Amino acid sequence: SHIAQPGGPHPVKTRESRHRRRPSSPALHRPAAMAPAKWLMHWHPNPGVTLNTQILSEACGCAESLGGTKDGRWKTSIIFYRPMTRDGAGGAQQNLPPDVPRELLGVALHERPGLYFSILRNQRLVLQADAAFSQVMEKLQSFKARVNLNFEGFQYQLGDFCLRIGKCVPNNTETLRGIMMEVEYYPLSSIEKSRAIMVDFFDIWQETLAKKSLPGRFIHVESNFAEYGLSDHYSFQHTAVQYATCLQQLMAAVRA
Amino acid sequence: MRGAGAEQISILVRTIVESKASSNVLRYFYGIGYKLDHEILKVGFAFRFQRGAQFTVTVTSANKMPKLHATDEAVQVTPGIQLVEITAPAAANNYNDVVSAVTSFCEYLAPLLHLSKPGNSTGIVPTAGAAAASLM
Repeated sequence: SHIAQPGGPHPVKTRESRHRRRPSSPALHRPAAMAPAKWLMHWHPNPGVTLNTQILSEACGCAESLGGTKDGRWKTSIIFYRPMTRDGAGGAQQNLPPDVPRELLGVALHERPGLYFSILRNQRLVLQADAAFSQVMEKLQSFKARVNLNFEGFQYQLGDFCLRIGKCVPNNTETLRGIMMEVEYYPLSSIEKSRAIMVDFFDIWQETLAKKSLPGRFIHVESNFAEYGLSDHYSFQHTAVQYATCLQQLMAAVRA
Repeated sequence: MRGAGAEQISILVRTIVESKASSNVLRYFYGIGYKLDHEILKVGFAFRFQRGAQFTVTVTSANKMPKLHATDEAVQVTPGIQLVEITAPAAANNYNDVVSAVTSFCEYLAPLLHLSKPGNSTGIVPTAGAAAASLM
């Protein structure tokens, strides 16, 4: 099997416990500052095909057929902010001064509920702050939260991998806007060094899923981390940027 | 506090939101359209301790600079006079306890602090040394 087996050497340092991880999970032995390499993939439906939750259940079934053990739920949120205009309605976007971005994204990651990330896509800037920062934005009143999207689903432990398969739904609705997944590889934090094994995993995943003859496929779109000033060493900021990329892909797929 | 107007100064209650941020936070605010308005250099000390509430006491002087970021050329706004700030966070469930802790701590410090008007410093009053000694 191409999937790495557990039992390899792990760093001896212990770290603060993560909620929802079982004690035997390799992630528990990773120093807190290092995030494991992760790929985000989104479901690209065939032209003319609408999304449905059956794809989600089939993908979860694949994870289990590969030997994955379901070990909980996850939820990451993205908030779209738009600038407040003088009339307070946030409506007339075309009268904005040129230096004010038309939108910014707030990201709350499931693995770090105490943190908040804000992305300015036009400037390739990702800010990392405390969860309280969203209150700062609210008090400043220069931007207003317009849409709140949740990425949520189940997670599966699969050897040295963690899979999170989820749907994208606007907050407080059941409207399916997209389907995506996270693949995390615990032993490595280097993006380049983990690339080969991620590609191998993705090949196995695609093969397994292909047997279900679903009307579409998962795609991994590379984010340009260097443009955001991020290094080869994977971090939560990388994940925030991947979510922004993933969202862009999902919205393009819906429009197509 | 002692000095003209000291009794009229009451405890100020404000809502504060604090967040750590990555080092690109200034670039972020410029990026969302904020512009530099003014710059002040604050120099001094901060003390943090627990005394019925989580206290932060700062003793600072405010300084202005002739050119942007020219910290070496900073000039005190009120020479010889510092600002002493005593703060403690409070929530709805401990508000009254924090108020009484702050009030009692301020009374404790009162013999050392003399209110000065800018340009008219009281200087170090003769009783300060004895007051400090009696507190220690």
